[in-house]
This record gives sequence, structure tokens and C-alpha cells, in this order.
Amino acid sequence: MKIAELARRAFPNRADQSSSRPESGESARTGPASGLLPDEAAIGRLRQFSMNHGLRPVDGLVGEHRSRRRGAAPEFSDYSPYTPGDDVRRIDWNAYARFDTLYVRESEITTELDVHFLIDTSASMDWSGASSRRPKIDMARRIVTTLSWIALSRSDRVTVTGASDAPDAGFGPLQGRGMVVQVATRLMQLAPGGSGSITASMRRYARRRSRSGFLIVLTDLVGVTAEELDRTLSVLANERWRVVLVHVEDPVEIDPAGLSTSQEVFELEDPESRIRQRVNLHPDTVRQYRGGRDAWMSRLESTARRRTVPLIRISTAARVDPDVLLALEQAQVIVS
Amino acid sequence: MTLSWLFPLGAIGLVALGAIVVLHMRHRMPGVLTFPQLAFWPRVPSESRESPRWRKPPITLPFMLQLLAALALVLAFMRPAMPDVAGFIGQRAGAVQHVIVLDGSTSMLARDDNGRMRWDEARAEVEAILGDWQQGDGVTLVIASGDPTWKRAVDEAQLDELRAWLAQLPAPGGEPDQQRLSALINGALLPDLAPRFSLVTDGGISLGDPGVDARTVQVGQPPSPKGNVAIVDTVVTGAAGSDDRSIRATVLHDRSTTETLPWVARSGDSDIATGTVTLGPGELGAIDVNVPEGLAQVTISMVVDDALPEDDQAIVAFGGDALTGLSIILVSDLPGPVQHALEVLPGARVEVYPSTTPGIRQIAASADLVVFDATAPAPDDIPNAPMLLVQPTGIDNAWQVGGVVPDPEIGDVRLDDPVMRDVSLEGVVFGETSVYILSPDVEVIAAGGDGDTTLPLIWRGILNDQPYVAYAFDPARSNIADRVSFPVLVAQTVKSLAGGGARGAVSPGTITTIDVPAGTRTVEVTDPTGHRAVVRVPDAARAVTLPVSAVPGRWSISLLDADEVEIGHGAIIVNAGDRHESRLSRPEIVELPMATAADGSSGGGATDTDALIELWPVLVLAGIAVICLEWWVWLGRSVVTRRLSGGGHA
Repeated sequence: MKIAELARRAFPNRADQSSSRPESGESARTGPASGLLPDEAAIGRLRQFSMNHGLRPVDGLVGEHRSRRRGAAPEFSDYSPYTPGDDVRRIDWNAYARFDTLYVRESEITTELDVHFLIDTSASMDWSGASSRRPKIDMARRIVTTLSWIALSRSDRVTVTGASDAPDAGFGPLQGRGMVVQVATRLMQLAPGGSGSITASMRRYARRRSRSGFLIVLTDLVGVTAEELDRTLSVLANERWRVVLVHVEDPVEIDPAGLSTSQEVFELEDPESRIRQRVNLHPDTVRQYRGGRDAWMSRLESTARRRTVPLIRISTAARVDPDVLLALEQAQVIVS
Repeated sequence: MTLSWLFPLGAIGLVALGAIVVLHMRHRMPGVLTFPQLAFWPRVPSESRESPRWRKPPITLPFMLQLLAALALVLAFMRPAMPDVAGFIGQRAGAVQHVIVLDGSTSMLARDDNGRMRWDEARAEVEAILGDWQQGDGVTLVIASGDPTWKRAVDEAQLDELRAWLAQLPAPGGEPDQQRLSALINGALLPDLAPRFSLVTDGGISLGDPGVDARTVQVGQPPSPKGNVAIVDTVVTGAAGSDDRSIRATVLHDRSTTETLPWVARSGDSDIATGTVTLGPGELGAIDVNVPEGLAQVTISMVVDDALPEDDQAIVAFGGDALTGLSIILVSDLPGPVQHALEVLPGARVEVYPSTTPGIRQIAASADLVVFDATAPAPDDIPNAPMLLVQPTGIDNAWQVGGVVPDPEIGDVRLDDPVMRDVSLEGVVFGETSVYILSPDVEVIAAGGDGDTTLPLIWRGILNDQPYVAYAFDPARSNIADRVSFPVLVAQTVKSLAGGGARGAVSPGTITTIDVPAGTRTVEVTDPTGHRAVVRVPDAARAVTLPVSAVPGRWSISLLDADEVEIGHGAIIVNAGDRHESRLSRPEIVELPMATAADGSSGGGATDTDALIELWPVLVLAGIAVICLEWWVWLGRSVVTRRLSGGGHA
């Protein structure tokens, strides 16, 4: 409820747009950040979720995730014999008086989770197959906002970074529920454009971070090959990153069978490279397209599976609540 | 059916078809759509790849529709037109003036086997023609009858009035007056409108070459097999009060077989004579009826069943009255003693026509007497009425002029002849007198001589089945005009010819004018069926025109003063029989010359094309329909393209 209040303060003119879709892709691209925030009904459902990082707790500020690391903390966990180098402040003098042996109090440290959102902001993400549907970048924004709310509400630390040609310093880490508004604002400031490999951005992002975390990549995977993805996931795994791939795709990308034009032959232009290719809509052509794309996706999914990286396919025609949440829960990105 | 092109230069527009073909032969720049996944699209087949700049015209539906639409519009631009076709959708090239001549002659009273009158059929045809009226047109409906009338409409309200007028108009009857009709039609033409003539007739009228669109609608076809028998003329001979007064009725047998036809003559409810007459196909026969003293009216009827029952009987009324006195037609170029003598006859109405007037026979159809002064009728224009001829010119087979005698003396005179009753020629100087060579069947009443030369001065005979009396001398050159004998001679001659006190009958539809005494305020006219009409007499008017319709019989007339007291009465006899109108099988065709229309002096420079139906509206509609179809096809194929183009691009 606090988030809603914050949103109202930050965006006093906000209409309740979270569950409604824009009339056109244009408004979706330029709509206010408040439109990304979950409404009160959605918040009620989001409360049950938390991020499932599935990783060993890491050092950091006190959070709500249980850690396997023992250390100094208010909550007692166990005693261990004192060894030189231990913090003398943690010696339990009562136990020494009782057992005449120095024991050090060990406690279970509850740690925060670093959740990194890497959003593909290449030009291909700013595309929609129909004026009635949002572009892929908008779906990515909404997913990030939702997951950010879940993470921030559990005192996780959230970092939002755009991935494209232009280097993005990232935004965060942020902590605290109230920061979801800033996350939404930041997301709206991510302007799609340019080209660039999302896998290269992933590797680059990982290298720049001194501490690994939960990396959620939202991308359309355009131009990504299975080999490249495998190499990238290998690098990130070695650096102890827990990676989740959220593949955002438009229905027309999946099946262009309904595509029609008054011309027998027309040109398709890659929004990133501006390369054009002359095509037609002969049924055989469409069939070949679908076959090639299905094979490509199959290879990517196989690679991700081998690397135990969830690859979640989200259609821009899907609803965040419940379609996307259900997919994320099934992939155990979030748990209730 | 000939197709005309009112704007042939519009064919230049056919270039548009070539342009369309050329445009389709060009390889158009393909449309560009943004799409994020190019890797999986296969290359287009080789036959669809970019190749030469030109290609064969693609035989596609949009291409063919575009050609069709362009062709329709170009053809419309050329303004094709064709003669009017009933029920065809199109637009006339321009406003026209419908001149509808509706035959209203007596023959239009004939009925078919179903009892439908030709007049009713003709009115239905006129209604159909009026259905072609469009905004801007003018309509002039001319009723071709013995007394032609017309009515004009230039807008819808007037058109409704015209329809209503026609619906209640009884068949006028009579024989069409050629001259008056021609003058009326040509005078009725509106400026700035192309005349378009339509003649609705049973064949008795034809239009001369008007030089413009004209068509004739024939009614009364096929003719009734009953044929027609008619009493087409009556002549009363013998003076009033004499024992030898009789009626000679001429019967027309317009049937295909020889028949013996019964007839009956009645006076009131009593038969005064009956008999039969045997006639061959197309023959004329005579019925003689002796008229007992004291009868006021005799009706002679043929007992037959035929197509035109109106002319099966004829009425002869005796006893003149001040209202319906003798109607005399005087054909003369100079007023003279003859005219003076005629005008002083009691109750006589004299109408004077120049000798150059054609159609005297028609003019004199209802006259009691026709007088030719120093002229003679043309052989084909001899009136169907008794005639007085004064110093006539020669007529073949009747008489010829063989010279002149300077001053003949009186010779043999038949003083017992009715013409010479109370006439004294003693001391008369005739002056230069023509010598006439007469046919042997004439009867010389008075003869003269000059030495060895004998010449007829007054004689009588039969011409065109009509009695006549001729004077060989010129009253203007004789001193007879200065003597009282001359008006007596004329009066006795008229009495013997138009005579016996019988009044002439008029043809159906004749508009009769009567002189009324001072103080007459209303005239009541009662037709043979008993229907009464009242005519108001304007102040100081001394003549009234009475409506007489096609109903044959006796029309009673009463003159009433301001207190509705009868101050006079009379009757008009309408007999339908006519030598021409009653001959239904072979009607004599009255041709109406359209000189004014033909020479283009009227009609506002209208051309023949104005009477055509333009087809461009139909072609434009067709072109628009094809364009809409082409759009529909195009939109159906491009809807997804527009959807892709409208969303998702950076």
C-alpha cells in the first residue's frame, strides 16, 4: 500500500493504467512511468512472491534471505571454538565462565539479494507487429517493474541497466519499496535504439560488477546464436551469476502467416542494421521462415537448459498479471 | 440503333489506358516494412526478383479493373448518345419541346371489338409520351380536330394541369383543319427548345417532314372488322311548303362486301319512311326521303352494327330561326354586289375568304352555302355543300369558258323556276359576259344571245354531288346590281340551294358562334344527352361562342335575359358523318406541313442531337462502380500491410 501512496505522490495525475493497455504503440512507448506501476489489486497478489535467487547467500547488508554464512548477528545460530583472528567481540563470556573454554557466538545472517535487470534496448525491441500491441521494450519495462516491486519489497537490491551499443552506467543499486517509483522512471528513460549484441552486453556487465548476483536479462535475442549464448552463459556461471533469460517476442515474429501486402514482393528492413531483404509472402516462404525460427529457438532453449538457465518466452500479447507472473513462477524466478 | 458520339475528341482520353498499362509494366519500388528478424526469411524466388525495368503487363484483377474504369470514363467523356429507347436509362442531351399532336377527328370515335374508343387509346399513348418529360422540357399538346385547340406545360404543375385537362377532354371530332393546325403548331413552338414531334393518330393525319425528331403512334390498329356505314351528307330539295320537298341522304359503305342495308327515317317517334340501299365496298349511295309538310325534324338512320355508330344517322331540321340562320362562305377577292346581297339575307352569317385560301372544302364543312365570286373551287377542293358560282372560272368536266360577249341580250328565261320567282330581268344590261361551254347535264335557267351566239346566263347543275347555281354575268359590270331584282335573285337562289328551310348541320367539335340580341345575359346549351351548360354573355357582347362536343344530335339553345326569362331559342344540329372521317378503312391523310420547324427558324438553334439520349451518366456510374470494386480489392490485400507499417518502428 505504501508503494501506491508513493506512486500517487510522485505521479499525482496518474490514472489507473496499470491494467489497461494503450490504444496505440506510440502511447505505449511514450507513456508515463506511472503506467508501469502495479495497481493496488496487483500489489495484493505480488505480496505473496519473492525472488528465488537459488544462490549461496553473499555478504552484504542485512536482508530477508536466509544465508548459509555464519557470522555476527542478533539472531543466534551456534557456538564455535575461538580461533585466533576471530572477533573478540563475539566471545561468549558466559560460556567461558561455564565451560572455561572460549566460544565464539555465531549467528545466521539474513542477507539481501542483488537483483540485476539487464534490458535489451536495441532498436529491434522498439517494434510491434500491430498497432494494437505494445512494443517489446514496453513489455520488458512492465516485467522489470513487477519484478523490481517484488525484489524491493523484500529489501533486495535492484539495479536496472540498459543494454545496447551505448554504454549504460546502470541505475542502482536501489533498496526499499519506495524505490520502485524511481525504477519505473528509469525504465521510461531507457530509449531504444542502435544495435548491439545482448550476449556481449551480458559479459560486459558481469565483468564490471565486483560481486555476482541475480541477473535477469530481458531481450528479444535477435542475432544471438546458440554458440554465443553458450559461451556467455559459461562466462557468467564461472563468475557465479545466476542468470535468467526472458525472451520477449511479438506474435507476428512467431508466425507471419497473416502478413499481407498489395505487392507481390516487398522489402523488410532490419531496424538495427538497416539492411533490407526482399521477400514475398508465398506460403512456402512463410513456412521456411517459421521452420528456421523454430530451429533457432530450439537451439537457444537447449543451450540454456544445458546451462541450467531458465529461458522464459513472453509474448507481447500476454498479460503481466497473471500470464507473465505464472511463467516466472513456473521457471522458479519468483516463489510464493 | 445508331450510336453517336457528341464529343469525339474525348477519345484523346484513351491515352489514359496506355498510361495505366505503362505504369503496370514498370517495376514498382517494393514497399518497405520494418521487421526485426531477417535471418529466417528466404530469398524471393528468382522469377520475382528485381530484374529489368520493364516487365509484361501483369494480368491481375486490379489491373483489369483499372483499365475497365478508365475505359468507361473515357467513353463517357466522348458523350455517346443514341436515339431514345423506351425504358433505357440515360439522359437526354438537352431539354426538348414535346409537340404532341393528338388526332381528335371524328374517326377517333371509332371503337374496336372490345368497345374501346380510339380516342381513349390515343389519350393513353399521350400519357406515355408525357412520362418522358424531364425538368426543363416544354410540352405542347395540340388537339387536331375541326376546331384545333392546344395546351402547354413548362413545369410539373402545368403538366399536371395538362394531364387533368386531357383526362376530361371528350373526343372533339370533326375533320382536322390543316391550315389552322399547321399555323397553330408552328406558332406554338417555344424558343430555345428543340422541338420533338409526336403524332398520335389513327392514320388520318401525317406530319410533314419537320426536320427534327418526329414519330407517329398509330392507334386503332387493327381496324374493327365491322367496318363502317355512315350518312355523310344530306341535301334538302324543294321549297318549304311545297309538296316535292325531299331529303337526299348520301350513304357511305366502308365495308368489304356488298350489302343491302336497311334504313329508317323518323320524325319524333314516328317512322315516315323506311327502305334499303345496296352498296358495294367503298361505294356511296343515296337515300331519298319525301318530307311531309309540317315536320320540324327528320332523323335518317342506318340500321347497322359498325365501328362508328355516331355517324349512322343524320338529322335534318326544318324551320330556321334567328340564332342558327344560314351559314354562308363567300370566296371572293373584292367585296361587291354579291356580298351585299348575301349579307342582307335574314339571319345569314357570311364569312369571306380570299380565293387563294386553300382548304375551302374543310372551311365550308359546316356551311349551308358556299359562294364563289369570280373564282371557282379547285377540282380537289370542291366543297361538300351547295354552291353559288358567279362568273366562275372553268372547271374540267363541268364547264369551260369559250369567250366573251360584249353585251348579251336576254333570251329564254324559265320564269317558273324557283330561282327566277319574282325576278324580272327586263331592262337589265349585263355588260361583258363570258360564254360558258356547259356539260349536257346542266339545266339552263336563263339564256342570252348576241346575234348568232347563244350563251347561258344562269344555270344549275350538280358538282361533287352538291347542287349549284351559276351566274355567267358579272354583277359589278351589269346594272342588275342597281335593281331590286338582284337581291331577290340571290335570295331565291340561296333558298333553292340551301334550302327548303333546312338548317345546315355542323360537324362534331365545331365551335359555333351565334349572334345574340341585346339584353342576353346567359345562354343555355343542352346537348343531345340532356346535359346542360350555361354560357355567360359578357356585357355588350352580341355574339357568343358555344361549346359543341362530339356528341351528335340536336343541341338546344336558349337565350336568357337578366331575369332569366327566355328571349330566344334555337338549335344546332351535329351530324357525325363525313365523307373522309367516316371512311375508316382508308382515311384521307391530312398532312401537316412543319415549315417553321423544318427550316430551323424556331427551336433556338436546337440540333438533331438534342433528341438523343446521352449515355454518359450510365458510363460514369459504371466507372465509379468499377473504381469502388478496385479499391475494395486493393484494400482487402493491403490491410495487413498497413497494420505492420503503422506500429513498432523506431
